[in-house]
Order: sequence, then C-alpha cells, then structure tokens
Amino acid sequence: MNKKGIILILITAFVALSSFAQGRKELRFNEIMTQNDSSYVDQYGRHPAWVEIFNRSYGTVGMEQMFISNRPIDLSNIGNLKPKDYLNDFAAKHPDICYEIPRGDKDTHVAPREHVIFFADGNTAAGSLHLSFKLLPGKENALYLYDVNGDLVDMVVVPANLPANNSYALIEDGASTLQDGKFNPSCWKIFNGTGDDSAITPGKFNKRVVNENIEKFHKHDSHGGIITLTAMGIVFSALFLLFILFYLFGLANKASEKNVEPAPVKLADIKSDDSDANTDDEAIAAICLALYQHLNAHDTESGVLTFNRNSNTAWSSKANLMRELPVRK
Amino acid sequence: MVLLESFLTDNLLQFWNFTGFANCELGNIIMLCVGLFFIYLAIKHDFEPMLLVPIGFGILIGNIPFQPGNEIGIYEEGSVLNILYQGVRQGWYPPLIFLGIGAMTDFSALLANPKLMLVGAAAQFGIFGAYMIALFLGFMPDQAGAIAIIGGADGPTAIFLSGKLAPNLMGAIAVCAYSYMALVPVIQPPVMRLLTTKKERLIRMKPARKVSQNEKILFPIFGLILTCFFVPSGLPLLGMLFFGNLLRESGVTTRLAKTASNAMTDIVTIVLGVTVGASTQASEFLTKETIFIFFLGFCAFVVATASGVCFVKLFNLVLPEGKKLNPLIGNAGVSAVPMAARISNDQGLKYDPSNYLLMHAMGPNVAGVIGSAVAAGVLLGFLG
Repeated sequence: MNKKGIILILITAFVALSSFAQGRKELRFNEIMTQNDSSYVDQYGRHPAWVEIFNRSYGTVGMEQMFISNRPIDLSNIGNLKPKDYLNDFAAKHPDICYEIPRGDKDTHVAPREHVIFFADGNTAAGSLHLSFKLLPGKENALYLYDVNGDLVDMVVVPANLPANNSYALIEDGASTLQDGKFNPSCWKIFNGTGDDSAITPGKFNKRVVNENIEKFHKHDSHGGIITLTAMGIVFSALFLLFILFYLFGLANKASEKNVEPAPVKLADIKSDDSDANTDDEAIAAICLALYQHLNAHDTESGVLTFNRNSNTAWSSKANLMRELPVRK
Repeated sequence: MVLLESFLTDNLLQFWNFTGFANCELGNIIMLCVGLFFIYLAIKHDFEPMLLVPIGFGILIGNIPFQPGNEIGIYEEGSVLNILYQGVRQGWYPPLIFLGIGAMTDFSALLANPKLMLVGAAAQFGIFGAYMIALFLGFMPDQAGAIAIIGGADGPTAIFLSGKLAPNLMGAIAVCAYSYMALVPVIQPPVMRLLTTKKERLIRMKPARKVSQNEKILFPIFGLILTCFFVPSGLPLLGMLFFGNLLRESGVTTRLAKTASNAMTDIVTIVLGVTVGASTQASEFLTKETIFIFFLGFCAFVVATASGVCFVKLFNLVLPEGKKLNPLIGNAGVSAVPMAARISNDQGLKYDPSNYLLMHAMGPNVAGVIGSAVAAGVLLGFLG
C-alpha cells in the first residue's frame, strides 16, 4: 500500500475514533431510584436501586472503559500517570467508590436516543450492568460519569429526601445538568408515578414524546389551508427557479448555436434518397405512436414504448454522413 | 391400541390447528380475493402488471392464515418477510427505485420547454386538496399528509412518506396509490374533457427544440442543489433521482446507468411489490380507514388532474399566440410516467388525428416526478 493510502486510512480512523469519543460526551444520567421496593426488577427478579443513562446522540455509544463513581475523583495530582491508568487502578482498589464498565459486553452499547439501566447493588458478578457500589436510601447520593480520558461527562446529586419507590429524573430527557462544572438541580424533579408528567419510566423517556409539529398544525390549521398555501408556494418556488435557470441555459444554448458556422454541405449528399437519417426524436415518437394506435401493438412490458435507433454508424452507413441543409435566415 | 389412537388423534388435531384451514377468518378470504383480483387485472387487462402482479401475489402471501409464533409472518420479528419488509418500513427501497427512475428518464422534453415545470408544480395541488379533505374526515395531520401523497401518483414517494408519517396506514396507501395509477386511463379523461373546450383541445404546440448534452448534464446537478436547498427532507428521493439521471446523461457511466435502470430497479420492484402486498394482512387492512383512504386517493387524482388542466388554461391567458399550450397536457402533471402523458396524447388524437402531444406531455410528466418528491419533502418537513 502506498504512503497516501496509509495516511488516508489513519485520517479516517482518527475521524471515526474522534466521532466515537464524541458520542460518549452525549451520555447523560437520566433517572435514578435509590430505594426500590416494588419498582423495576433486575434479571434475577430482585429490586435493586437503579441508574438510567440516556444516549442523547444519534449514533450508538459504547460505554466500555467508562467510569461511574459515587464521589468526585481528583485527577489533578496523578503525576506522570495517564488518567486512564489512574482510574483503572482506582476502580480496582476502591470498588465501593468507582466502577469501571468492562469491555466486550454489547449490553453496554447504547443505541441512538436509547437508555441503559445500571443496577446499584454492589454485585458485579451479576453482570456488566451491575455497579460495584450501592446507593444509600435516605441519604444524598452523588454520581459521576467519567470517560476513558478522565473527563467528567455528567454528574447528578440525588437529594436525601427522595422517598422510596420514587425516582429522581430529568424533566427533559438528556438535558444538560452541568453548568460551569457544577450540578444544576433545576433540570431535575422527583417523579412519584402518580401522573403522566411524573411517571417512573426506567428504560423509557421521562417526558411523553409528542410531535409538536403535528399538534401545532392540528390546533392552528385544522382545515389545512395554511399548509396548502405554504407547501404549494414552496413547490412552485423550487420549480420556478429551475424553470428560470434552464430557460436561461436554453437562451445561452441557442445563442451559441447561432454563432457556430454551419458545416459545408455536398450537393450529392442532399440529393441522396436516405433522407430519413436525420429524423428527429419527435418524428420517431410520432411514427411509433401511430403504429401503436393503428396496430394496438406494444412492447412486452406495459408502460414502455421502445424507440429503436438505427445502429449504423458513419463507418457503415452513408446516410449517417449527411448533414442538415443550411437555412438562410 | 387405544394409546396409539390417542397419540394419532392428538397429533392430527395439533396439525389441524397448525393449518391455514383452522386459522382462517373471513378477512383472510376477502383479502385473498383482492389479491386474485389484482393479479387478474394485471394479466387479463394489462393494468400496470409490473406492479400489480407482485403486489397481488404479495397480498396472497400476506393473507395465508397461520398460527403466529413461528417467525413466518411479515410482522413477526426475524422472519424473512419481516427482514425484507424493513426496506419498506425504514424507507430504503423508494430511493433505490428513484435512482432507477432517474437513470431511465429523459428530461429533454422538459428542458426544451422549461415552463412546463410549472404545470408539474400545479398538479401537486391534488396532494394538498386531498390533505384538506382528509383533515375534514377527521384524520390527524400526519395521517392526512401520508394519505394525500397518493395525489402525487407516485408509488415510491407514497411509500416513502407514509412509512415516515403513518406506518400503520402504509399498506393501504401503497395499494391505493398503485391501484389508481393503473386506473389513470379511466379517471383522467372525463375530467380533462369536462374542463376543456373543443377549441382548446385542438391547440397545436410548436415542436420542441433540440436540447444540448450540456443542458442535460447540468440539469441533475442544478436540479438537486436548487430543490434540496428548498426541501432537504426530500433529499433521499431527489438525491437519488438526480444522481440516476446524471449517470444516464454524463455519457461516461453507461454501465452504471444500465444497471440502475434495469437489474437494480427490477430487483427492488419485486421485493417492494411483494412486501407491500404482504403487509396488507386482513387485520391491518380491512378497516374503515382503508375505505376512506381509497376515497381520498380518488379525490386526490381528480383534483390533481383538474388543477393541472386548469393551470394550463390560466397560463394560456398570459402566453402569446403561437406559444399557447394545449390544456390536454395538464393532466400529465401527475407523475404517473408515462401513462399520464400517453393519455394526453390519446385525447389529443381523438380530436385531431395529426396532433401528437406525447413529447409535449412528457415535460409536465417528468416535472411531476420532481414536484411530487418536493411536495413529499415539504410534508415531511412540516409534519415529520
């Protein structure tokens, strides 16, 4: 492989990896339940506390080697260590504080605009989606999400007064909580499951998804008059612009044709009997249609009229050497 | 002996429950008859056989009764039909069909007389007329938009838009769109005759000028840029349409253009037709909405034809003598290519046996393809 090829592949790989890494920044804590007595169950039928994370991007995001911790991790004094190595080490030494999401489990790949649920039960043997620490009911619980480079992706502070079987959730799914590196609780609310706007929704959107466009048109344009006028205006504008453009092209084309000197014509050619060689498309169409009308003949396929052109070339047919009569204007 | 009898009886009973006879309902029978009727229309009366045979047979496939749970139905995840159906649900097939249409279409007739583009735009009023009627009948705006696109007389566009706006109505909308496209020779002529005088029908149009190769090459490029800047939501359809056309007109990609217009289009048409047909399972198809959809589809075709013809008549008021258009080409603004253009020609010949309108009608006809894709993009932009 040549040098350029290798460079191209490297650039492509870099762009692909960058976009992948970019996707991780789009993960958000979305809903949390610290005391789960009768709500969502894990695969063993138990009711552990759970943490919902939402991928607000439009691409799948792999969470492997990201870190979820219940305390902020100071990465400013790690010396020559890489943040990733430090976090690896820290998670291994302090599983009660930090959990490293393992590699190789497709459950930790979050589809676009989808959610993933982690169970905070301190039981990592139960699977990749089980955190190595527990959440404490009746106490303030903080959660931090770090990417592989040690950058803080998101955080949340769950208030101590969160009742059992209630969740602490973002009002708008995927809203940004971090403002200047600090947690902004105004985007969050306690959901008690009593109504549509406070339903506990593990794995689902917190806010009922409504197509606002449709609601808007249903409300303000119930007869369809506005959309009709607007849409017809757009269709006309698009095609009108095309009309203008190709009208001008046509004029330019005509002008350039006028400037071209007609080719010299030999008298012998003009007198030739093969005058049908200059037959234009319209005449062919007319002849085909006349035959179609007269004989009711058509191609084997319905809806297709085939105009077979003479396949002779200037090399094999004298007729093709003929030129149009010059017209004096 | 008794044990053996019991064993056999149980097995036979189990097998009986598994068969179509045990699971058959009235809806299945009705839909099987509809499928057979489509196949009959296609083979006996030559009504759009390329579409109605796959759709008709697809209806038979989709309405064979069976016991659910064996991954065989089109709506059962993992079944072969379901996998093929994803191309319809996710909107993969219509852009591929548009690629083929682009590679097949000669836009010369339109480029020779670009004002015919406006006729193609006017006929799109059929879509929005049907949209208003659908709203009046109580459909939600997204459903109304999906149904109204039938007025564009363009099957792939109808499937594309309904798949996005109202997937539950897509089967009915697709079948309706293709059925009415096959019935264009029945629906359009009375409307055309009603709206034109004998004098107008005799108008002769000037022969089209010859279009240069440069114009043909520039058209898909500028067409894409202009239309998609207006309606980016129409990009999948318009992008593929113009790309296919560039393959055809560039003169250096003949092999690609041939593949796009022949083998690829045929393959996609087969898969699309069968899966759309199979998606019309009785439980999904035999509803009150379907009846409304067929009614609205008819209205859309009538309004589209009428608006195309009336627009030409209005346009003639501002055109100088000698450049007037024959209103019989107005119906071709719906994009049923080339059926609608043929109808213009047939009607023209009825009143003047030497007045061939085919090439003139092809202009609004191909403009209608662009217009309906733009209209679909607009609806998707507003309601998607």
